[in-house]
Amino acid sequence: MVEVEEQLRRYASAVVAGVDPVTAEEVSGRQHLERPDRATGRPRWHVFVAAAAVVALVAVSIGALVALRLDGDDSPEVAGPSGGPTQTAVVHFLDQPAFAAGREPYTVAVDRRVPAASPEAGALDALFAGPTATERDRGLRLVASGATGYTDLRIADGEARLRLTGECSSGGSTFTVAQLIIPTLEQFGIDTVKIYDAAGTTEQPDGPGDSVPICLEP
Amino acid sequence: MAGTGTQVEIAQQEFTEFVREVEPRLRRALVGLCGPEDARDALAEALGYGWQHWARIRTMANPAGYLYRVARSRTRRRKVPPVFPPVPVDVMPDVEPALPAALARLPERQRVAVFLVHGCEWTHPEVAALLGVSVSTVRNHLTRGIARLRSLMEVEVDG
Repeated sequence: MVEVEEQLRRYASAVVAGVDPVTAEEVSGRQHLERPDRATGRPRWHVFVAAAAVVALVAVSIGALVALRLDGDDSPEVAGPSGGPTQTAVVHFLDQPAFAAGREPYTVAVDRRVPAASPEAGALDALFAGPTATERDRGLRLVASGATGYTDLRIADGEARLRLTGECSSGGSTFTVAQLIIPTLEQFGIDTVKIYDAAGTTEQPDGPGDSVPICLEP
Repeated sequence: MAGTGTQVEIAQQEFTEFVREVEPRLRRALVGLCGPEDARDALAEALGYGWQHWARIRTMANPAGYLYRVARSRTRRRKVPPVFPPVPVDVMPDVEPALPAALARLPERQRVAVFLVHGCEWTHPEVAALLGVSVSTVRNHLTRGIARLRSLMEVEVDG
């Protein structure tokens, strides 16, 4: 038997070849049906589509602003215990200018001192403490998605489970607190993160991948 | 999309070029994400979203990465685990029949990373750009993904 990497190459090539390409015509053709056809006097659906889009845009914008929690409070420069050994960990925050411009990556990692005895919890504590004033001046933000913090952090076999406290809403945004929690925990050798809402539910508690509560879906 | 006839035609041309460029890459990434059965639907859904929001998406620095996340978000909502077809052992005698099931059991990011880097010969920066993560994170996913894949397939590793 050949190496796993070579097996993957052969297998992936065959699997991908079995999926038909999607064309632009196929995709945009669906939308053409919704466009006005003045020659035939069909209804001007674009008026309704545009109106619905405006309403949706306003709703999403309000929701996103709420989710981003752009408050002006200062955050502590260093997160960690008053005593005991500490270590450096990175914490991820939203890079607001990059997100607004659609320029990835949307997160920036910043250093924090965290308790060496429980660095994972320390990093999450530092995350929910938010960026410092200097970092906020650089455009870094905590996207809390309504959460006030977390509880019940359990880590075993490369898998972390935690429950959010407070409210939980994506506000219609594709960027939520999950996009900050997951990379913040990855540095500790954690492969899978299961995030539960305050009621203790998550979409895929037993699946092999990450899981978020439905309230964090856009 | 809405606008005058000329505006729509220009947008269609741009979108057609865009799809021609990104579709093969997105297709591979979505096969790695959710398996070939669901990949095409996810791809059509993501590109459809791209067309609907083309005015905004065309200005993004990484529109393919954005549409990948759109597809991922909608796929995840369906809560269907990835399914990979059996190995055709008659034409691939050197491929372990346990590979598809092991691939499906990998955590999502590890699966996508190993599928794209080792399966489709993407570079680490290409995968990093698609997933919106750093190159070092991609390396971590690869290392852990391959180790776990070997373990799941019970492959003896020399050395």
